[in-house]
Amino acid sequence: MNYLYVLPPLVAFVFCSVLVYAVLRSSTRSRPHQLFLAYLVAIALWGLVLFGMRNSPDVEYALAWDRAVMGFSALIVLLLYHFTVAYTGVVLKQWLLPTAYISLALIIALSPTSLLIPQMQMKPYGYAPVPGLLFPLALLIEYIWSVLAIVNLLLAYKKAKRYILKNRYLYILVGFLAMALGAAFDFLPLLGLPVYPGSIIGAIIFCLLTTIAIVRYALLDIRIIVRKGTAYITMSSLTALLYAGAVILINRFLEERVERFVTYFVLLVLGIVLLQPLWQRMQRLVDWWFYGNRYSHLNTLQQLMNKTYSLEDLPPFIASIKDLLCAALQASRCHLLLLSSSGYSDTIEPRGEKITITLGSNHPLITWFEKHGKLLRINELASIPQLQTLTVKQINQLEALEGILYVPVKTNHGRLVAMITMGEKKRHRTYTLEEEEILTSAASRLAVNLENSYLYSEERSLREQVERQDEKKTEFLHSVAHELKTPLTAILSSSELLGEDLSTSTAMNKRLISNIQQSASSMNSKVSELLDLATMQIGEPPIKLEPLSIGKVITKVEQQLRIIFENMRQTLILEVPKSLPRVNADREKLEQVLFNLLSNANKYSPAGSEIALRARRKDTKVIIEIEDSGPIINEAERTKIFDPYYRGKDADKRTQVPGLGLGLAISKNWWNYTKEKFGLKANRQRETSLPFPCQSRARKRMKLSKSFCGYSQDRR
Amino acid sequence: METHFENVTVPKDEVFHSNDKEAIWSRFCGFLDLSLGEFMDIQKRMLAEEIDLVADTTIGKKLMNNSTPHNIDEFRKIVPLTTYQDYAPYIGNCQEDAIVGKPLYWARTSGGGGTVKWAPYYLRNDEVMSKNATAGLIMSTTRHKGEVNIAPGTRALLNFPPRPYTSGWGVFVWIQRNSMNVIPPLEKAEKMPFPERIQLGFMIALRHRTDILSCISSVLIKMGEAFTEGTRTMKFSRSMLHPTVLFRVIRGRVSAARHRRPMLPRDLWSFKGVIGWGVDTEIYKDKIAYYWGQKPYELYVATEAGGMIAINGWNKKALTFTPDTAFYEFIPEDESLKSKDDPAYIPSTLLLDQVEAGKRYELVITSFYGMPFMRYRLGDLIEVVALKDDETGVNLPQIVFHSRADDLVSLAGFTWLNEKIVWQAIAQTNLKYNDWTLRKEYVTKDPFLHLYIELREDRKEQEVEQLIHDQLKLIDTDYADIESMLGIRPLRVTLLSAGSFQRYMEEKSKAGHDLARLRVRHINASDDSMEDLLRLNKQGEQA
Repeated sequence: MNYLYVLPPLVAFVFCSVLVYAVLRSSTRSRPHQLFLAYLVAIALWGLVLFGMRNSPDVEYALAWDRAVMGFSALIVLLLYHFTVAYTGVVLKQWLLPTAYISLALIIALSPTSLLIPQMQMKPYGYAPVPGLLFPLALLIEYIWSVLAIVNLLLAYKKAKRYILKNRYLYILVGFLAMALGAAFDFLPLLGLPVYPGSIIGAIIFCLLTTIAIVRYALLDIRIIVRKGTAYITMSSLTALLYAGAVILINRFLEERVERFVTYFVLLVLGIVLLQPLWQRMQRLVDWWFYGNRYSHLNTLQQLMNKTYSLEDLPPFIASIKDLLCAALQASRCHLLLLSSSGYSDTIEPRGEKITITLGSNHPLITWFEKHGKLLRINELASIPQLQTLTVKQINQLEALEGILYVPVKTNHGRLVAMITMGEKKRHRTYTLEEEEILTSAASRLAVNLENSYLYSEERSLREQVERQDEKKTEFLHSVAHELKTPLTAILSSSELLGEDLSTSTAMNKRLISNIQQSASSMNSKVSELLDLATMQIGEPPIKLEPLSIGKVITKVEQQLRIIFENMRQTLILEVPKSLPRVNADREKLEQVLFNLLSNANKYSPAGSEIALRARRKDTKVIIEIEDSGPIINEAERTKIFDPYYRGKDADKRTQVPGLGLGLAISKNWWNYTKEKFGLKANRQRETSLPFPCQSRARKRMKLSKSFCGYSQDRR
Repeated sequence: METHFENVTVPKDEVFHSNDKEAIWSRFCGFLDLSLGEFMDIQKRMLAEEIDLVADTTIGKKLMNNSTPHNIDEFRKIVPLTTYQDYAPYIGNCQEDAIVGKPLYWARTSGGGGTVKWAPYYLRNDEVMSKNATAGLIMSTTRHKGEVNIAPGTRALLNFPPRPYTSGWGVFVWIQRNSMNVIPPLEKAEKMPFPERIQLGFMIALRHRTDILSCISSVLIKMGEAFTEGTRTMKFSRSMLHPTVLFRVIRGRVSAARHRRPMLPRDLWSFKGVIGWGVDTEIYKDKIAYYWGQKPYELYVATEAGGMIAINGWNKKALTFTPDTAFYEFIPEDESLKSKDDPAYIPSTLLLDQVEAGKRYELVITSFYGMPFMRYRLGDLIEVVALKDDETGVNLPQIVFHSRADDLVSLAGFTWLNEKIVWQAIAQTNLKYNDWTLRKEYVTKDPFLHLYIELREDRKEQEVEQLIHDQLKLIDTDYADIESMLGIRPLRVTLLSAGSFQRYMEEKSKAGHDLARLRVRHINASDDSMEDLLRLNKQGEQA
């Protein structure tokens, strides 16, 4: 038995039975579906009858079967034509369908007679019909209706607005092409060529593609299938050729069976490994054939999208994107409406005049994209209830953009950052599904770029805002402090003069004058602190470094503060060796820092306690430590105590402790300009240490700007 | 072919011509998938546009008190509830100087309330009316969501009043937009009297394929009855020799014999869809299904609103509002009645997202796309039967038409009877009748309901009165209470002689009255109408 001849009809029967099941399982029960179902059933039965014919024991049997085959062929053509009429909705002439029924019914009626097939003959591959008197006419009629079915599909393809529909028609048309090729193979054996009839294979391909087209909701772009298919077939053929060549050579030179087997195996593995890059190259080559010049634009687009852009780089980037999308997709125009404060806008130039189109955030299209985020084709606007009801103004805006496709540019978080509109394609073509995919993919990459740019922009804008606010605050602080200080100076000097003049006055008056002086003095020092803080925040203060004797500075500060220690019955113990070297420091600032730290120790230490100030040399530095008996500073507070206005976590309860909480902050700030460390010692809970280089012979070469004084504060 | 009005071209509907079933369903019936929020968004957007459009017109300035409302609340505060009397001085004679601009056409109402009302239709009103009519047509032939069984070239047997009636305009432009075939052809049908047009339509439908039947429901019932009676005595005639007619008749005979009953219209025709018109459609649904093979599909149309206010889903149960025809407000029934008793009373209104299931409301509309009607009381009472339809998955309020607010007959403060209830009561008696009219009349100072009915069978007045009275008691419990609590029997029946209503129509037709005034109103007919009807009744009796 010649299996290549006998089995294909049986395969067709089984295959079409499976397709019948698939169509039955689909939810749609429309008229085209029913007709196609009938067509599939007819094909399956045709396969069975054909199998009967090819498997016949003699020509007599074969003749009976083949006449049935002829009848089924006419039925198949009839159902096919009717299916295309119902599926495409194309009605060339009302009388065509009844005519098809009549003419093909005639063929069915004549098929059992000898007018079509009088007898069978034997060919090298099997049985073949001997054409009867009306056989050519019957064949012609069947071909005419088949061609008309194709015409229906072509017209529907041309008329379809959406590529999704076009794609479905293309599936069926490609199926038709396969069927036509198969039918051509039916003629070749009749002409004496040694090939098998191929219509059955063509019919199987047609049934498969058409079933996919009408049953599947989401169809892959047929162009992708054709392109990938071309690459795979070309590559597979090439591989097969290479492999066959290699096998022939091996067979010729190697005689041992085992060696041959091993060589085949090695060759196979090598082929798989080595051909992988070749495979990709082949795909690129086929892509190049399909896309032509557009291929390079797509590549450039991909490269462009892979970079990150700052907001300053965005305009040229956007312009490039628009140009590349236009070139790659062969579009007449492309607009990119970027998110701005007023909505989504882009500038267009309809007649050489620049117009900015802005779609507000409440524009139904924007609202739709925010919710759905899928690409929209212009004809879909009329099919979406929310977009059918655009106002005249909104319609005019969209018309000005002249878009055919609207693509949302959404981030992964669902934020709509832009919208792309693509104009008509050149030569009035329709965007293919693949091109829509390219657009969607470009939009999602663009979204990442834009989001990054926007985030950067937002962050920078916020930072600038904060900086501006901070500057304003500092300026305000500075001016307030300045304004307060001027009258205070006048009050102080006047009260001093008054105090001198009232030497003979009563004790009561003297106390009042003293109170005024003390209060004014206290206020003056607080305002000075505020002024210092403001000065520091405005910019780096000038530092006047000079060689100083640390002991003299400490003594001076101690004299200034003696009275407050006495008032609190506190003992200030100074441990300052006379042998300390001179240090490079700004006298005024050092005095202020020591003043602040000692007055801080005074304020926070209980009455009658001891406060120690120690100065010592450590390597090339002089360390000053101040130790007091104030409240314990816990780990959480260690960083906070140097913040301006911070007065400890129990500040509310310590209302009797005067001050603004600026002393430590100012001291730390002054010290920061020395680039030396300042802070609490790690091993103690109330301690700050300030190591700073001293002026010694060994360190004379040290740059002055780097040197200053150090000290430590230590409270117990 | 495109339809050209003066300076305006009405384009073909591209989607309908695309053979893209998915897109067609979405375009025409997609609004059924809207959430209530989305529906309200559309309403608000369209209202904002309407305010912008009419703000500079004379009517707009008058109604909006020379200001421009910025939101719905402001709109409802500024614009008063209106009736046609507010517009009649400006558009009552189709004047164009007080409105947005020259309309595409002027449509008129059927004048059922006694007043002929004209309404200007702009291109977008027409487009939306056509779109929603197509939605109705699609769903009238559909059993499942997404199924589209009509296409350009679909043949519809229609019986509508001609232009300039709204339905006439609607059909005229709709067939142009969608390339439909109308039976009988419009150019012929518009020139023919109504009965002849119906006859010709069915004659053509016998010979040619007809996909859709759209007719006034009461006419469908009468035709069904007449057909069934006629077929009992049917004889073969020459007109039956047409092959298609012969095939239909034989098929019909076989089908009737198989079911052992007289031949019905449904045995002759198998329409894809049947669309019923009129307030009585709901009552006759089952009877229409019996005669014509399927339940009628309902459309709720209002000229002043701009077309289809609400349409059935594909399950043909309740109606769903269309979002793009007009802006809807609802006066609760008690407020509506209160405002009828006291014209000075200003009733409050609710929006669609505030209505409650099981309650009745008077409908107030504001038209879109430049039509001038703002907060216009249509005079229709609707009932919200549910806030969604689980069967179809529609998440919008479902309504049924209840009655004309004007056509209510108050009875001793106990109940309000409307045309629908009376019609239902008569239908349930199974009396064979031609037509009827009901009035509230008085004996000295006592009111009673007087029903004038023309029967097609021989019955006694007392018997008929008893039958209808019993049915009214069953349908309306408040009506039943009148008898049980007050001991009053409020119904009296007068039987009219055969042909009284027909003679009335003929007389009015000869006198040149327009279509709307050819018939006696069913509820509260005027004294003049009743005088004429009773005179013609007397003539019939004497003859």
